[in-house]
Amino acid sequence: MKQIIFFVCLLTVAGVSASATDFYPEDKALSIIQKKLKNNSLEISGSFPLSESSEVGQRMMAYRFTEVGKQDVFYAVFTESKGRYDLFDYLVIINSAAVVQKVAVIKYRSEHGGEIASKKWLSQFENYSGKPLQYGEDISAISGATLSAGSITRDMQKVVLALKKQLENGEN
Amino acid sequence: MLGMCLTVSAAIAQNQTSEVKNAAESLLQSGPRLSIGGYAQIDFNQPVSDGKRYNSTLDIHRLVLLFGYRFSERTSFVSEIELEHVSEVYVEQAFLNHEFLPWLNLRGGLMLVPMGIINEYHEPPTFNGVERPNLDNKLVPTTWREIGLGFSGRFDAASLKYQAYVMNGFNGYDGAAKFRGSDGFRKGRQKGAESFMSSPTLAARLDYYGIPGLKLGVSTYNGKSQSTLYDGLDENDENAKVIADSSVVGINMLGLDARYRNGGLEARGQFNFAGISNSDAYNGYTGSDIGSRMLGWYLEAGYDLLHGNQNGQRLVPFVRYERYNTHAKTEGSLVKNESYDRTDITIGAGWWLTSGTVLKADYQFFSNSADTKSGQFNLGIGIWF
Repeated sequence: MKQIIFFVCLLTVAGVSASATDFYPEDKALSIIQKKLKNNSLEISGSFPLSESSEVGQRMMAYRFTEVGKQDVFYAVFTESKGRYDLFDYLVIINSAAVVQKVAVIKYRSEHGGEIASKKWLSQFENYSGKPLQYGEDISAISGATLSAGSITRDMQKVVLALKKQLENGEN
Repeated sequence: MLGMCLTVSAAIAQNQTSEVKNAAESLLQSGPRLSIGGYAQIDFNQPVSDGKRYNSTLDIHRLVLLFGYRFSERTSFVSEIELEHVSEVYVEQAFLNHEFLPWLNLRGGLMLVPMGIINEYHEPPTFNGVERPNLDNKLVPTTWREIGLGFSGRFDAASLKYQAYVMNGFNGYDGAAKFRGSDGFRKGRQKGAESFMSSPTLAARLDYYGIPGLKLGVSTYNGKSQSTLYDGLDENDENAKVIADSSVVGINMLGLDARYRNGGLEARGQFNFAGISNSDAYNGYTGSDIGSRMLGWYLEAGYDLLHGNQNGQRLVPFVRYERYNTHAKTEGSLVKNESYDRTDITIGAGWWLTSGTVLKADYQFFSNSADTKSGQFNLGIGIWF
């Protein structure tokens, strides 16, 4: 019995630890969105985790934001992908029709593969709306960053589809 | 016990939702601190020559184990331990990297000299052919690494990456000549093993990747070779100074390279120039035969027949054409050795089972201006994880 309780306890702790709520908390998130979009008159009006509950892995945290005095609603998804050895964090700005507006790398940790943070390369994801994407075909290959580039290309679809699903089901 | 468990969970939940995070917590969230990886190249080589028979060789050419440790979000250490031909142990890389800003990293330790494509990206699944291009053996002495210190970084808005290091140079003389006509500086690599320095050298590289599918690189390397004759040299002994000065050469190396991928097409090329000053005095003093200029280039093209498929496999037939001359120019009485003016053609294919495993087969045609021809059949297994 003790063992069972201990196991349940472990699961509970693990479950709590996997929470995505503190992956880029709101104050940090707002300043990053403003910096990456070079626009200081943005305000966050809500947030929700996007990670699929059954799957431990890619953390996704979405913030709903608008520009002061404007109607258009956008979503900023903070998420991560894995290069060869390390995770890297990036931001995907998506409009209310679930179309990608901009992608920016927030933190690239490895010594190799940092090429994917190139604004030019990331601009290939603009106007992307969730159809299957293939690295090297739809998204141009980038020498020296094959794993990171392949993994952000693969995960981009997950991000867009997860947000789409959430919007269809009603945000929260 | 259950109550305690809930309390602990609640306390953790509380802690998680509060925005106070210590460095260790945020570090743990960014994946494991310790990275283990490696690569290996297992080769079968069968030399082919008219009128002579040769045995083939089977070799674990390289088995390299990588250990990386991330101390914090900004500070990390990377090391690679190499077993070459099974029995020789080397350290291939061992450097500390600290990021101040993405465009400003301080890096120090045993580092790869950033010259050409292969010296930095030499893991077998990253290149076509069982063996590395010969240009990257005879002119750029891969795997070329020395102890040094410098900066690296990237500019995301400009799609640029740079490296600039002060590094130890080649051992050109330690009682006997290390440089020679056939393979230039290759025997002079010190590899961080009780290396000595009489004057530092500079290595720099710039990568541009702002055009889709294309990566362009320019590398430079400048400095003198090292000599043991400067150790304990009497500042007033003019004769000894002249002798010591005759035991070094000045090296100015330039590299230009390009890599391109679009759909199934992949192509790459590299050009290397090495200007060697003082070679006449060096050869005169040491009895060696190094040229005063080395020059070479290669072009390679391949096509992935499986491109566009979803399982990650690639099947790439390729051809590589190389021309390189380690006696492009000679100084003084040294006559150019025509057999150092070489042309190699490699034709083969690689079958990538996954992005990190490849089976390779190719045939190489070697010829030179002295009209010597030979060939070699190669089979190889390459892995990288």
